[in-house]
Amino acid sequence: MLVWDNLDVFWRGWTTTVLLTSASFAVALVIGMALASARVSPVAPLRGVAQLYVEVVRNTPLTVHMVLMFFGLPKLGIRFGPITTAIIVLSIYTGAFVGEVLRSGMNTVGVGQIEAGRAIGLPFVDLLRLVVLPQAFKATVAPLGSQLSALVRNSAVAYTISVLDIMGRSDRLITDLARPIPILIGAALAYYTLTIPLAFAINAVDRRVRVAR
Amino acid sequence: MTDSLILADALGPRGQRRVRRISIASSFVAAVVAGLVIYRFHVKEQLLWRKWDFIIDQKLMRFLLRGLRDTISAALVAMAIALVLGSLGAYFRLHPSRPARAVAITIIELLRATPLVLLIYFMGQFVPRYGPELGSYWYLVIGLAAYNSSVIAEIFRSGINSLPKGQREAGLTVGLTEGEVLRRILFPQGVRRMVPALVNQLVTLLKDSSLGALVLLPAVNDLLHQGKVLGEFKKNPLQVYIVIALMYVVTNFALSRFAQHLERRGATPPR
Repeated sequence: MLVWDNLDVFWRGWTTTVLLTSASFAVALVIGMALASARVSPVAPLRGVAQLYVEVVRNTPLTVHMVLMFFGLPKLGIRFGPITTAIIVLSIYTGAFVGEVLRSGMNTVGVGQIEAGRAIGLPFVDLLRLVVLPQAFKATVAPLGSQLSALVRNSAVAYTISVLDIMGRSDRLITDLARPIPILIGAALAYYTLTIPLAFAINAVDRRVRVAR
Repeated sequence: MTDSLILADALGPRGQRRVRRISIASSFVAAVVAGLVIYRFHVKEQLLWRKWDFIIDQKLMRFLLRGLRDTISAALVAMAIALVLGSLGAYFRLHPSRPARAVAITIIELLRATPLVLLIYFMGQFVPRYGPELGSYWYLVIGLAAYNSSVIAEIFRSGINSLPKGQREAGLTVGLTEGEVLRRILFPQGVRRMVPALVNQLVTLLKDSSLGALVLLPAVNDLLHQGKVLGEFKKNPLQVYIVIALMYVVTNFALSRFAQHLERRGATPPR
């Protein structure tokens, strides 16, 4: 009932979580596409830079990204609010994973398809745009969905840099009301409204794509 | 094998010239960006040696490495617990009895749908209230173990599902029960197949263990926490966090290379 009485607080946190997640995912898709394209391109330096990005970002904890940007950027004279910082960090982090998902999706496209595209004289960019990416997309819908679900959950880390998402609002409520257990259960339920439908959607899509193949 | 996909033929003279031009241009852009970043560091006085000299101070580096030790130990202990609970979870997830399956699915899916931050926060509040006061290190380990049990249960399950159907059928034919087939035939093979995935999960665990430094009070003395303390003490959080990040990268990079090695070695499994 504690949760019910503070529903408006949870609601405000919920909208922030949705904002964090959707903005970051949009940017992460762009970063991921650029990374995946670079990693299959014939240009060696592009491949190198993309690989370096993926290895470094993937192997650093999200928490370290958060504190590094939040406490580090101001030292360089760059100042963003907590929400903007969180969106930047989540985009950079998720982008590396999305890039890997897209790349392994491209690997599922048959060699024959690529050879046929080259045989009719498509240049690299058109080959990617018209032949590889549309087919790779099919194989990546489900794993991209998992990345989105992971992003929803990862966005909770933003509360450590004082973003008032579901977790941040709950943390404040706990300080005010000193009733951690019911509030945390309420927070979990708030996240479930996002993650559980997503899990069902991923399963449904996965099943359909698998049949189509 | 997966690294070799490049979408271009062996190039002719014109293509080679173009690729060379793009290579030079992109290297140039990368160099300029890197230069701008370094220049920014210089202008804002972040390159001064006194902000970086902690990396040759033995005492301070030992202070950080002590944190890395706790990071690794929390991850390993949580992994050990999660392996046990995760195989139990996978066992019941595949159990012939429907209620057992339903319970396993519910627990696994709920755990997987919960943000790990929240789970660790919850353990830090719940365990000392209704159970023993173990200290932050253990609340972190319990939270990590709970979440990763569900992940590992799913890893095991997909490993077992990837086995050829004949394995189960053969087991049933020689008169084993469904449970025995699962325990004695499918599990041992499924687990072996999933070793690389498990090592990769350990990388994730190493990263996630850093949540203990930010979520729990008092904080766990892991690498991130030691770095935070050092950064506040020396007033150079930027430099310390960069070094911390590199320490995580080196540790995890070594681990994922190890996973790749296992993957390559196990690529042709004995059937």
